[in-house]
Amino acid sequence: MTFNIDFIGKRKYYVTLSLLLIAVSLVFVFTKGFNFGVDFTGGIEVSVSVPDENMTVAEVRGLLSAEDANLASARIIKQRPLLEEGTEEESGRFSIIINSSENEEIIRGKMLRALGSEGVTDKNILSISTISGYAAQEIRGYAWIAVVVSMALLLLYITIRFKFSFAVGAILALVHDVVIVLGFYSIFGIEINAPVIASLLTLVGYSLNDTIVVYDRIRENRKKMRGADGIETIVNRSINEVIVRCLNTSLTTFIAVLTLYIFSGEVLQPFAFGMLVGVIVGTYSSLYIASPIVITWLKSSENRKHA
Amino acid sequence: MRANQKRLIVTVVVLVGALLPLLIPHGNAPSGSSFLDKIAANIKLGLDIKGGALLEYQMVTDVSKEEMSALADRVIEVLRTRLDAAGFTEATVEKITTAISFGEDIPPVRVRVQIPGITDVLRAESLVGKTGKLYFADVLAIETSSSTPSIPAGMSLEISKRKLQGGEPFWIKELHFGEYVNGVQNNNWYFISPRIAVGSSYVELDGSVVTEAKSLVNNQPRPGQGRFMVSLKFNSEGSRTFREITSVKSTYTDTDIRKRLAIVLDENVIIAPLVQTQISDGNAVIEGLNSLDEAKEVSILVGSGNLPVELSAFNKRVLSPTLGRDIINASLWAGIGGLILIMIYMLVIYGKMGIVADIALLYNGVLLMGMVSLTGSILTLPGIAGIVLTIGMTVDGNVLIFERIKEELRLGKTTENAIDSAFSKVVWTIFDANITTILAGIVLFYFGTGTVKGFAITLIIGVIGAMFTNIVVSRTVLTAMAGGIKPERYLKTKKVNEGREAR
Repeated sequence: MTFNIDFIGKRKYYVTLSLLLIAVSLVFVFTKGFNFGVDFTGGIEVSVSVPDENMTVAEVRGLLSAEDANLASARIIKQRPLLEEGTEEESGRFSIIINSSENEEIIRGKMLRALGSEGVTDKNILSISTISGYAAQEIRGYAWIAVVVSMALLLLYITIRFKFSFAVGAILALVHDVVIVLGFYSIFGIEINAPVIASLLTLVGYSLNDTIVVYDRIRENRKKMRGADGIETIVNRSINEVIVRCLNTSLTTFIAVLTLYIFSGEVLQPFAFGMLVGVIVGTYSSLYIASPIVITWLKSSENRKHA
Repeated sequence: MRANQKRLIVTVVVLVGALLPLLIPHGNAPSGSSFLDKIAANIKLGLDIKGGALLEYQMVTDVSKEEMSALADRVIEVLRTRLDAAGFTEATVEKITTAISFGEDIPPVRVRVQIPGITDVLRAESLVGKTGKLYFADVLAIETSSSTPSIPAGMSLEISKRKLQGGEPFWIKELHFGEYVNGVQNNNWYFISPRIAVGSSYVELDGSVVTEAKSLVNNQPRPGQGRFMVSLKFNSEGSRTFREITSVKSTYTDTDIRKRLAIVLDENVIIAPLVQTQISDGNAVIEGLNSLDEAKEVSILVGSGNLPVELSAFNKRVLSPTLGRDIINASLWAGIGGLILIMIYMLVIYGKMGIVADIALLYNGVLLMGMVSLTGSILTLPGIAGIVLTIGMTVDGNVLIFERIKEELRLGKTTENAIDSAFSKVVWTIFDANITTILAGIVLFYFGTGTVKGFAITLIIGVIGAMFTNIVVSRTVLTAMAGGIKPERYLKTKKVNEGREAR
């Protein structure tokens, strides 16, 4: 191939850039934290449509707090408008999240009374989710375990198929991807709901694709070029040989996820956001991070052999 | 070329295998619906798309996990009976057992009820959510009031007597309290005691002794009374106690409050009929109900027995079909938009080989939907995300193959040779790269809750399909059209214009 980018010689810069990104992500995660959805916090989430498409969050909040002062602290998000069936008319749509010990029937009644003046009736209540604290606690637990277990499995798989040193490089790249993606969720305040866990896990699996393509090529070239060049040259050449296909595979997936991000509603948008960021970060780490780490390991193990 | 004929046969057979479950109607489409609707009905949609209620309950108990599991089975039986009797035959009731516990307080065994397409959630909840205990009780007073009435005067002796027996009386609402019937609000309160006076002693009777309850039409109603009734059957132990109770109660006059026997479910009196005669054979009827619906409701609530344990909500999701329709339309656009963009992209970048990628993409799309239909997997909203993602991933393998073919062509091989050696080299790369995604999908399937499982399903099926499509289908098509791919093009580009080849 005609690419000749010096990935390896400049690896210190790339690793520094990544460390910087990770540091920023961690700072945001630990100071600003996440915008957890009702799946993770527990509570009641009501999705309601209002005939007036131009109604604002502040107006909804005003009406709700007039009915019950406790509702003033509800989280209210304006969602993509809803196309009324059989007509061309769009109505406004809001998600209202309440952390209340009252049961959902009482909340439903309060909302109907509060928004009744806006023409909201029973059929405008589009969905109600009531998540107990236990359910939320459980999903948080599952989320962590799932990410950790999948990483452990992948570490095992790469070790079997390649070498432990490759596996370490791959997993470090994965941790890198997940931390930075989480950082982006925190920075942009994107809601973390149940599908986001799916997003993180898929990312873990998908981001390995490019890494494996690179590793495969390194392995092939090491056999072919045995002894002729140093490991740096082999790795650098391998990456340059496969960079076009890595970019193409990532770009096609990026397109798919982008359409999902644009068209899908609030349930899948956080999922698509994670994949969007993840595909970019994952491709970057496959090319710039995963392989340089392998070099460091391979070199130290070779030195040990020679010594 | 003979190998390619085999591949062609496999390709066609698998395609037909995927199309059959899609095209042969086996879903629950109503008869007379259009062909397209019938095809759509071949794929089971999750509640988050077609609307409905998902109600998950935990059991309020301290017993061990094993006992809890047995308890859950009985709960499921009761709920199943109630739902069937009320006509919710499409509803599912299942036991959820957690794989790993994330807190001592999180109940490890739960019961999940899913009722698709339901609009009247209040009704469903009153059947399922009437979670608690069914028992018979003495009535000491009846009043109508919008708020809890005060303790009736002149009853302090009676109250303290019952309190000593562990049956302290309390005010309780009627089942349909607060609802309007013919413009009149139901404001009925009953002052009841869960211990029933039989002479000078007291007995208790809980709902588990009722073995059967049926709603019936009464052909000879008493004058001025409704034409519907409910028949009850008691087990032998219940019959004995019931005889004692009825033998005493039947002696009182109709105006005497003591003649009434309340049937209580949880926090509500279902009905409090007058006891007219002594019943010894364990067969009782409640007469004078005004509508079949009322009779049905009473029979369902009484007849399905009391739940062996109290339930409390773990989580509840209720979604109207309106929102589901909106969501599926949006997701369809996402899928179609992504599909078209990627197909164009592949054509632009890879020219003739791009056609192969596009064929593979459509092929895997059909394969994925066919497998979802065949396995009866439920398509949820995250599941649609899995499909869209699969669209993006299917071409990945083709990209790897095409790039490899280009490399081989640059070495001066013929097109056929280039395709063969490219595939032999790239098969394992495709396998390794996809298996990692499948592994992540399996973990997600195991740990994912609810609708996220749907994502894991479409992702796993989609990625396996993509592997098959890339390795078998793409190769078949590529080999067949090998004549159309000109090796010189790649050789020339490399020599004449090195810089532009890299995109």
